[in-house]
Amino acid sequence: MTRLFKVSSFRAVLLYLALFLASAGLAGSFLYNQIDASITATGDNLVWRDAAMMSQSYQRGGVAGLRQAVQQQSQVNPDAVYLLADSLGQYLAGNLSAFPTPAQTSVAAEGWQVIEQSAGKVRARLLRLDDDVILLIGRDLTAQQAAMGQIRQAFFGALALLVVLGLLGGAVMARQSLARVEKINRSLRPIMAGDFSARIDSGGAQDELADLESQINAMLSRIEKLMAEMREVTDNLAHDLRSPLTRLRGRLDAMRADTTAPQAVADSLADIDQLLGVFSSILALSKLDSGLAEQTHQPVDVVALVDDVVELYEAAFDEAGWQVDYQAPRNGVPVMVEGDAPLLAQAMINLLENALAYGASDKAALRVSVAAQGADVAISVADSGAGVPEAELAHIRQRFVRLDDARSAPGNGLGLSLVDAICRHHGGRLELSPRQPSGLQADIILAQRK
Amino acid sequence: MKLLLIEDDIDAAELLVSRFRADGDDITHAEDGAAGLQLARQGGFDVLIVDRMMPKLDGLELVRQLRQDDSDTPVLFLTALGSVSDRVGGLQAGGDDYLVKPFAYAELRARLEALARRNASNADTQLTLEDLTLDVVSRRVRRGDVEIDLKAREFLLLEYLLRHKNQIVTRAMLLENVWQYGFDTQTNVIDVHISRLRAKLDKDFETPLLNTVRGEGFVLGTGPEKSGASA
Repeated sequence: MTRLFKVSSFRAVLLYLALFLASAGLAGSFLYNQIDASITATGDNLVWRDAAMMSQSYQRGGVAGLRQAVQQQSQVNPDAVYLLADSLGQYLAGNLSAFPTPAQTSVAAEGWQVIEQSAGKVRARLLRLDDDVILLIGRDLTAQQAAMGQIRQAFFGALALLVVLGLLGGAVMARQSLARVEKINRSLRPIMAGDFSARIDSGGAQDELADLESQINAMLSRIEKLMAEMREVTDNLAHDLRSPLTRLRGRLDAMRADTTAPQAVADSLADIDQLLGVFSSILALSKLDSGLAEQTHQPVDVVALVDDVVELYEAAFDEAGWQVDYQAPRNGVPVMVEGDAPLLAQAMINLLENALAYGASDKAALRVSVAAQGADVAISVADSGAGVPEAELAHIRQRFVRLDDARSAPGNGLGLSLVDAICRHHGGRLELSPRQPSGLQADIILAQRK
Repeated sequence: MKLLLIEDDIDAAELLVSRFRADGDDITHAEDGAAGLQLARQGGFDVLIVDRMMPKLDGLELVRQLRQDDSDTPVLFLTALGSVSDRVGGLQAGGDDYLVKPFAYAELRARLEALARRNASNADTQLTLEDLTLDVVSRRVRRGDVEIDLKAREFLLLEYLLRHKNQIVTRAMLLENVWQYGFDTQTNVIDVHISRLRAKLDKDFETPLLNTVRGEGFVLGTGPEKSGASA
């Protein structure tokens, strides 16, 4: 239901319904009052006619004639109400036995009063014919009230029906547009995941959403074409740049095979390898960042993956005099993520090699851990080295950024950038934080596979 | 080794051809895929070295067609395309190994030797070298009368080395085949594992079995019969 409220068409229907109900209510109450007034006026006319007749009877036959007329009319006309009394208020004739008390009476416009009796409401007025007699003449309102009650009931019933139908219609409309939007979302999901060949099927509809869909499809075709071109360019670049480098490397390699080769040959070879390393890192980075990297994501057991990487590197840390502490959940429930295992292993290895290269200290300690944190998995690699100054933490994941102390050490300043790109490629993130009392902690945060 | 190199980059090919010839190998060069396929079909090669991106007939298709002809000559792909799926695609097409350009000659040579002599020992479960024996089924390792206790990965490492005894095995080959990682490392992780294994194998014995070939890799045993121009 909360989801329904989020749909714009359903909200529009609700707003429209509220406006419609308000205006219908206004029109209804106006009509109701008009009808009520008109029925009242008709009744009043009847009373006036009655009064004129009574007045004639009085002129013709005096009090006795009037009394006779009242008695007669009381029997003939059940809706009429009469009370004939003398100047002292003593009952002479009529179907009302006594004058109403002030508490029973409320004053209406133009000399009319409404009398509340146990039998129902009466609308009446006093007719003072002369000093001797008073005639209260009026009309029973029970029938009118019943009619108005029915009108009220019919009106509210109609309104209720309208609300129900409006809500239902709104829900249906909302569901329909929700289904269309959901379809667009569904079609876009594989595209977000890297499959640019997917398209939205508009299903032959001819409305504004179909227009939007065809626009999106046109955009996707363009993106797909650009991507294909870019892929071709990078592949060609890889081929065309690597080929001469490969030849150069080959020649130097051949020269080095000669035992009399100068040291410069070996040094040049090392430089070329460095250059090639940078080159392939950049290529890998651009592939990851542009979404060109193929999405070959599969369920990956994080603990098994980290086990293997730690097993590979533990000996090297050991040999370098590090204390290695590795913690991972082993309660039989595998910690799974959706991902590219070789890339994730590469990220882990980059972090470990960073620690080994830059995190050393007198009592070097490496702490690696895997932990499920709610919907996430955190893979942490922490060293106890000099750490990274707080101000530099934000920069070290950028491309080619190297700390001054590290400039002389081997490396190209792309290791952390690659880890960062791999994390983003997996919809996760790389968090870098200082470790107490000293050292750097790197956390790879990935979404757990459900 | 009798090799066929199918590579459209003439300069790179000439360099390789001259180096293999200097090492005493019989190498033939084909300049495009179509010519390469024709030569490969005639047979008689120990290993084919195939570039992936070539005019006329690309490397993948060439190997696919060759495999349809029931040729089982080992194939090593040489390529500038280094992604995991490229690698998997190459192996699925019928390639036996995959080397990404640029590469060191020593790396290529070691892999070719491994492929050329591979057929001999693949099915064996009892692997021996001099007084060292490894039983793949019972997972026991002995040298002389001494039982050697190895960790799981050390066992895999030794098994791989024994299957390629007397050959140079490079660090990248070990990473790929023992640890299943398709990338290189800048650090000495492999050397550390090798030296730990060496300590267990050679500690109490006079003749060391596990040797390091500087700049190239490691050899279990005496090394290649035909010593190459190693650095």
